[in-house]
Formats: sequence, C-alpha cells, structure tokens
Amino acid sequence: MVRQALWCGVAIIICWALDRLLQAAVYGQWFGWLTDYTYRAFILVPLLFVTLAVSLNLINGITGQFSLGHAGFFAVGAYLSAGFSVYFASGWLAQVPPAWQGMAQFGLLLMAALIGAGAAALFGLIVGIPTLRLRGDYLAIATLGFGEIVRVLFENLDLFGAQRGFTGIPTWVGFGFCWYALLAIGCIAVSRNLLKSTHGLAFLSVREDETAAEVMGVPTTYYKVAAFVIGAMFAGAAGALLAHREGSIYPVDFKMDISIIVVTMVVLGGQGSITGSVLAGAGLKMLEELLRLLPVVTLFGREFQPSDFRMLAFALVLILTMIFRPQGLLGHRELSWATLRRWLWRSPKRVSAPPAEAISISGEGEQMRQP
Amino acid sequence: MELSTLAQQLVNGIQSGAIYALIAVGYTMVYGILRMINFAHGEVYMVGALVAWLGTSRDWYGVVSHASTGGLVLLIATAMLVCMTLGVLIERLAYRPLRHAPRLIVLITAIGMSFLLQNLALILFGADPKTVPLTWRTVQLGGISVSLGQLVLLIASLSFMAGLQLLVKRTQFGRAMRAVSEDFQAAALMGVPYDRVIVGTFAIGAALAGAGGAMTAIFVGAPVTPTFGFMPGVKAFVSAVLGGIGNIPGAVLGGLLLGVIEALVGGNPTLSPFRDAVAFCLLIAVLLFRPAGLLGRAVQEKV
Amino acid sequence: MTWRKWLLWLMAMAIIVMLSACTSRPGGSAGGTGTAGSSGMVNPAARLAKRNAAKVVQPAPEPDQNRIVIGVYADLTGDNSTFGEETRNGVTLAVEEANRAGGVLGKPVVARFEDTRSDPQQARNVVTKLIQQERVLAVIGEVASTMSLAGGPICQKYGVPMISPSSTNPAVTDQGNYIFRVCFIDPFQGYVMAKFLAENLKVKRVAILYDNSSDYSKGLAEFFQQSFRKMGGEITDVLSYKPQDTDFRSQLTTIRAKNPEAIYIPGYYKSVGLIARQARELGIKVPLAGGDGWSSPKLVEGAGGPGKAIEGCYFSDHYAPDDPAPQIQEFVKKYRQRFGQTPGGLAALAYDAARVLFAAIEKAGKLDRAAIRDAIANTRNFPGVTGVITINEFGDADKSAVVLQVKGNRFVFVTRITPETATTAASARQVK
Repeated sequence: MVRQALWCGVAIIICWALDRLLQAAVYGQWFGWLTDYTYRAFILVPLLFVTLAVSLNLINGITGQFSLGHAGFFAVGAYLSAGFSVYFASGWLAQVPPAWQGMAQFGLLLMAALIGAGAAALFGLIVGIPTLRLRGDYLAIATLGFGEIVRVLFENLDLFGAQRGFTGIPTWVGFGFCWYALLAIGCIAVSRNLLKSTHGLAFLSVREDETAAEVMGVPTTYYKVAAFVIGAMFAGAAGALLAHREGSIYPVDFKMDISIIVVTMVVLGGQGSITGSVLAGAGLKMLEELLRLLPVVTLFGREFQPSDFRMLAFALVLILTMIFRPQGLLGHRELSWATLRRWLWRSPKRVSAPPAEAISISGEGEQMRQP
Repeated sequence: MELSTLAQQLVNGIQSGAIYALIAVGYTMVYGILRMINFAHGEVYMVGALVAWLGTSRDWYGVVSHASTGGLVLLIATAMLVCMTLGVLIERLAYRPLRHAPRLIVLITAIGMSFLLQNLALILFGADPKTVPLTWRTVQLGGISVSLGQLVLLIASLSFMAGLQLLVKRTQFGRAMRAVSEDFQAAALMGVPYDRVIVGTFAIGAALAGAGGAMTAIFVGAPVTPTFGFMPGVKAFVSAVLGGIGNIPGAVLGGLLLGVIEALVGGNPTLSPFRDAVAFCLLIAVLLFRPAGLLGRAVQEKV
Repeated sequence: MTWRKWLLWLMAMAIIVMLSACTSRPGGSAGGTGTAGSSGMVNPAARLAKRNAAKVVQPAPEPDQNRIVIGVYADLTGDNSTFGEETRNGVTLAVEEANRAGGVLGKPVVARFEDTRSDPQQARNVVTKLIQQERVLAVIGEVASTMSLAGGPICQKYGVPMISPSSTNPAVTDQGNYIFRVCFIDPFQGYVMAKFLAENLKVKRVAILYDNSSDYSKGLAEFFQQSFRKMGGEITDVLSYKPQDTDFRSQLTTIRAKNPEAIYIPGYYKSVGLIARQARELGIKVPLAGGDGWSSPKLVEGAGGPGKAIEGCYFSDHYAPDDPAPQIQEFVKKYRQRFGQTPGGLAALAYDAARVLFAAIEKAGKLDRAAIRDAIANTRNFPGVTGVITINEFGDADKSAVVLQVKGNRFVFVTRITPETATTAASARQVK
C-alpha cells in the first residue's frame, strides 16, 4: 500500500515539474515552434485521447464488449461536472477569502472531476446492466444508441445550453498538462494493475469465451458491468477536464465520430494491449494535427486542407487493419522494457535452434515472428 | 388531434417508413445470410441519391430529358445499377477477406466502410446540400394532401418489396438464398454456390437502397449531403430489428411502424426535438424485451 | 518502514500545495456564469457587465510589423458554405482594394482564411491556429453565431480584436470587449419581421418552425415571438426541426391544423427550401417568413427552382442589392466584375467588416492590438455599404434592416425598418 502511494507521489511530482517546465517554455516562448497552439494540439489533445483509448480498451479490448458509445460517457462526464461548477461551485468559490482561492479552486475542480467520473460511471452502470443480454453487434448498436440518446438529450436541455453549447464554464484546469497527464497515467495504471490481478484473468476469460468462463464459475455479468463502469469513469473524468480547460462544450464535440476515432485507436493498437492503445491514441491524434499543418491542396477543382482527409484516413486505417492485421499493431502483447530487451538482445538460438546449414536470410524472418 | 390531421400524419409516416423499409430489407437479407450488420448500407443509399442528383444537375448530352417519365425511370435504374456495383465491390473488397473472421472484426470493418464512403463523398462532392431541381403537383384527397411524387414513391417502393418477396419465395435463386440463411454449411454441402448467393444478396440489397436514395432525392427533393445516409441507415437498421432481423416482411412492417411513430412524435410540439431519439429508444426496448423482433423467431444460441 | 511513511506524508502535503498553486493562474478563471437558460433574455445591464468583465488572459504573439495579416474564419466547405464563400469574397474585395490604394498605413494587407466546416470544435482550433501560428493582427468571422461563440472567447483570451460580419445573436459580443460586429442583433431582427407581418401584411396568427440546433434560429424565434405578441398577434404553434432532417411534414401538418396566416421559419437556407416545398405539398399556401439565414443564392434552388415553393416569401436582411443608393450600386458593380455574382447581404457585411477594421488600423496609427480595439470601439458614422455603422457600447452596430421578397431567382426590396422605432434597440440604449 505504502509502495503504491509512493509511486503515486512520484508520478504527481514528475507531472507537476513537467507542467511547470512546459508552462515556462510555452509562455516564455523558449522555442519558436512550441506555442500554445502546438502545445494543445500535440500534447494535450493526444493525452486526452490516450485516456479515452485506454479506458475504451478496458471495455472493448480486454473484456471484449464492443462499445460504440464512448463519446456518450465522455459527454456525461463533461456536462455534469460543468453543470456542477457553473451552478454550484462558482457560487461557493466566490465566498472563499482570496488567500484560500487557489486551494478552494483545486478542491472544487477535484470535486467536479469526481462528479464527472461518478456520473459517467453511474451511466456506465445504467448502460451496462440492460445491455448485458446483448452480445457482439447488438451490443454495438445498443451502445451507439445510448451515445446518441445522450447527445440528443444534451442538445435539448436548456440547463446545459442545448445546441448553443454550454459556455462560461470556469477554466480551473488552467494550463492543464499536470491534470491531463495524471489522468492518463492513472487510467493506464488502473488498467495495468487490473490486468495483472486475478480480476484481469476474469476480464480476459469473458472476452475469450463467455460461456466457458461462466461454466468455470467466473461471474461474467459482474465483470462485464465492472468493465463498463471503470471505462466510463475514466472517460467521464476526461470529459470533466476538457470542460474545465476549454471553458465551453458543445453537443457536436461528442458526436459519433469521437466514438469511431477512439475505436480505431483501440483496434489499431491491438485490442487488449494497453501500450498499443497508448501508442495508437497519441500517434493518430498527432498525425491528424500534422495533417493540419500541411499546405492547402487543390483537387477536382476545389481546395482542400489536408486535414479534411483525416476521417477518410481513419476509415482506411480501420479497414486495412482489420483485413491485414486484425490483432492490431501490438496484438495482445504489451510494450515494456522486458519485451524490448528481449526483442533487442534476443539471440537467434534461444527461440529455436535451426541446424547451422539452415541459417539463411529468409530464416531470420521466420524467427522474428515467434512470440 | 383532428381526424384529418391524424390521417395526414399517418400518410407522412407511411411515406418515410417506406424508405426505411427499402433500406431495412437490405440489412435484413445480409444479416440473414452472413449474420453481419452491413453498416455501409446507409451510405449506399446516399450514393443512390447522389447519382440522382448528378443525373439531373447537368445535361448529359441530352440523352433523355430527366423531367420526362422515361428519363426518371432511366435515372432510377442507373442509380440502382451503380449501387449494385458498389454493393458487390464492398462485399468483394472488404467483407469477403473476412468471411471466416470473428464477427466483431467484420463489424468494425463495416463501420470503417461506412465512414470511408461518407468521407469519399465529402471529398468528391463537398458538403454543400444538393437538390434535384424537380417539383411535384399536389393531390387533395379529402383533408389529406399528397404530392404526386410521394404517391409514386410509395407505389414504387411497395412494388419493389412485393417483387423481392416473389424473388425470394418463387425463384431458384431465392430458394438458394433461403437455404444459405437456414444453414450455411449444409447449403454448401448440397451444392448451393454460396459465394454467388452472397454476392447476389448484396447486389439486390444495394440496388434497393440505391432506388430508395434516388427516389428520396427526386420525389421528396431532400438535399443530398455526405451524411444523408447515416440517420436513415441507422433507423432502417432499427426497423429491421423491430420487425425481426433476417425476416423480410418484418423489415417492411418495422420500417412502416417506425415511420408512423416518428411522424406522430415529430408533429407533437413538446416531443418534436426528440424525434431522432425515438428510434434508439425503440431499439433498446425491442432488444431488451423482444430480441427476436415482432415477426422473428427466437433463436437459441449455440454453445 | 517508517521512513517511507514519513516520506509519503511529506510528499502528500507538498503535492497538495503544488497542485493548488498549479490551478490558480492569475485570471485563469473566467467567472462562473453560464449562458445557459433562456437565450431570449436581453438585459442590457447584464450584457454590458459581462462584456466588460472579460479580461485578456495572455497576450498573443507579436504581429508581423512589415505587413498586416488578418485572419478570417468561415464555413468554406460545410453545411452553410455559401455563407463562407460570400464572406471570403467580401473580405478579398476589400483587401484587394486596400492594397491597390497603397495598403493600410502604407503596409500591404494579407488575409488568411480558415475553414470551420460549421463545427465549433474546429472553429476553436482554427482561431487558435490563426492567432498562434499566423500571428494575425485581428480576426474577422464567423457568420453563424454558434461559431462566433466558439471562436470569440479565444480572441478575447489573447487580446486579438474580432469583428463578426454577420453573427446576430446578442451573446456574441457579450463575450468580451475585443469582440465586435457590424450587423444588427436578433432582438431587432425578430422585431423587424414581427412588425412587417403585423403592420404591412396585417397578419394576426403566425406559427413558428425553428432550427433546434442553432443559437441563431432559437434566439430569433424567441425574439420574434415576444415582439409579435406585444403587437397583439397570436402564435399558434412553435415547433422545431434539426438541420439533418429531410422530413418536415409531421411538423407542418400540426401547423396546418390551426390555419395560421403566416409561418415564421428563422432557419438556414439549406432546410428552408425543403420546408417550403413540403409546406406547399401539404397545401399550405400562406406566406413564409424568415431572417438573414435565408440570404443565399441556393435558397431558391433548394425550394425546387424559381417561381416554385418559396416564391413571394419574405425575409429580413442587411441590405438590398437592388437599392438604388450609389454606394450600394458601386459595390454591387465591383463585386460582379470580380466574382461574377450578385453579392448577398453576407458579402456586403464582410466587405464592411474588413473596411471598418482597416479604418480602425489607420486611426490607431500602429500595429498594436489594444489601440486597434479602441479604434474599432470608437467607430462612429462609418459609411458602409450596408448602412451607416456606429459601434455602440455593446460592440454592436446600430443599423436598419430591410425586408426582401423572393421573386423568381432574385430578392427584391420591399421596405426598410429602422431601429429608431424599435423598442428593443431603444431599451438597449437606455443603459447609460
């Protein structure tokens, strides 16, 4: 227990130090290329999507429950935490003496994030329980439906600004790196620890063969709902951070495209692989932003920003991955120091010992494929 | 609500329901045979509408005037042909390599295909709304007003569906289709060329969706955008589930029912903003309480 | 073991202190009053308070001093792309004219255009990009109020003056004192159509069908309703639609059941055309009316072509291209020569917005954003194409509106309604 807490502390301190360093670099304009824009596009947004991808991986990849409603959880977290801040917390903050403002703001933001996470988790529970009877494609459609219903609901609730967007949310997150990074790390750590525990095996068994798992005495219902709840919780917290950094959120921020993009990330990274989700999540988002920096091209007599092609590219990546490498970049494997070391220092003899005369150039390729 | 208003709403609902039914039939046939949801089906519908717009937006060397009956028939036939080709291509390029893959992988591919087509249309034709430049006279039947276009659309879609029912029940191809949907492996062993049956199913489904799209663009005058097919596609899927997926008359019934419910909700001042949510609520309710749908039979999952 | 626990406690304390310092950047909290609730409330004092409370949090990067770079964000490829096109053309015309006349302050003017695709998230991205990457001196945009509401806070945060050519929702300029517009606002626009229907057409019963997805449409519907009720009219029904809908018959059937004498549809042209068609197909023959969201060459096309469903309908707009006033005719001529089209209201407003900006830069005398802001705020009696522009303390322009009628493929001038008689504009001025 103490050990974990120490690790937590180390992570927080490192994130905090990085946050300060980045802030100094961005506002002090240390480098020409590191502006508020590039910081947001290449660091913050990828971090957000890492959180989303890893949390969806818990539902889609590890437990094998195909969910297309992640944007819905994201939205619930964002809207409810923002609602708390706008309608309650800012009123409370006004009564706090100036000396304690910083501390109070921190506490209230933490509270808002917890409310966002809690609301999304509750929503995950609500979605999880009835959809338990559904499998595979039905589940996908049902979760898609839930996601859309959430969006339609927020589009029509005047309390949350309806389609005009919910604006005037206090931007307590401020610079944001510390919060975003900590959430991503927390999400990764929880996923990893779950996977390493006995619960992890139960999650995996639900994915591999639900019936067999049930027969072996694994309470599959419990684990399916648990996956939904935990995944939704992190998506909700991510939504809360987004709302309190941007200061305004719109129903279109949570449309189905987001769900599809996050699914693409999980699938590309390898369903079940946490590091795969991290790599794909950060990588795809950064690639997308790189596209935005390219100059305008003219095609078919019309002008295009190269970023207009990004959804097309996502779709193509999704299809090609499924056809040619359905297990994704990393498959079920994880990228870690151990695997890297093994991969780097592995001697050809350890895997299999081919006769000396059989070693050839083509033979090496064969060995690379061994796990 | 007055009686004439109610009757008018029913007519409105049946008209939009007929379109849902046309698309839903494609979903249901493909599901019946391959046990997969062809997510890209709604986009095929959009392509049909795009073809109709392309046909009317320019002269095409004056082959036939698009305002004449012959021209319109030709236009709809072209749309069906184009969509048929597209459907077959999608099957060949994206789904066939995955014939023996887990169902989730096929599902993900289908979602990818849907987004691919949407964005391809966006890049090729842009997002600005495109309208077919035709208008239709209105016919008054008592308190009910129906445009001539709506009437044609309704009759055409009903006859398409009747034709499909005949095809499935009376022809050899239809028998092969039913055999494959009953038991894939047994049918293959009995010498049914199932690859051809699958291609044929995709072709028919796509052609019907294409006809639906073209007719919506021509007879309703709906502006065509790249996302034109998404909502109707999802709603058609809901109709298919509502009627019992895999069941063709069920899909038609589900489509008409959904259309009428939507019309009644849309006409209610307090409920009208939630019209799009109705389909999803209905879907979840059906999946929870009667997963086999209205006309489907419950299938015990094989272990 | 115990040293570990001690270390842990120490670290926990340090972290709490650090994080609480982490969140409280000076001025980082943007006050906590949401715009949620009714979009119909226009309380002048609250508007001013909100506008003046917003602060510049962090100055944008220094602008290029050798040339004048202005950023324009508009919907160039999305659902309302004709708005973006007209805006781009209007700004382009003004920039080219300024450069031919030797530039502004003797420096060449460059305009950078960014596409929002009518997506607020995208609007936020491109405005940040314009300010951070292109280091623009000032920003012009957007047309749609929802987009301006997304981009505005960013301009305010960085202290970059923003002029919206044509966002009419009041909330747009309430976002901060760096945000301006050169058009009238929706309370006035709603009043204009209410007055026109009640006094010119002598209509007593009106139904409303608005676009549920836009601030603009929702606001206009509410303002119209208020004004029309005040004039003794009756609103028979208020229904809504979504822009992706293709079937409006169910709403129209409900409207038809109460036999209104006109239908007010304050939406965008994309849906309005189809609504008009389906209304006529349902046998609804009464005139339809709308706002400047109709003002697009594609309106008539969407309604099935000239002389069809939308023939004879009315909408309020910023100017009339067939107005014989010399400055309008000169602008129309120049625009036609350059782009081969008749300019709509949005093109004229974009042209005016760019010229108001250039005049302000001249008056400021230096490429300093704060000085330019002050100069824009002090714009008085600027002779624009769309009328004389005076920026008031809300950052809005006090202007008159015109009512146009659709005839064939053209929009014909019917009448002009001035804010002198408008109660909403008058009450807005009483704040001082």
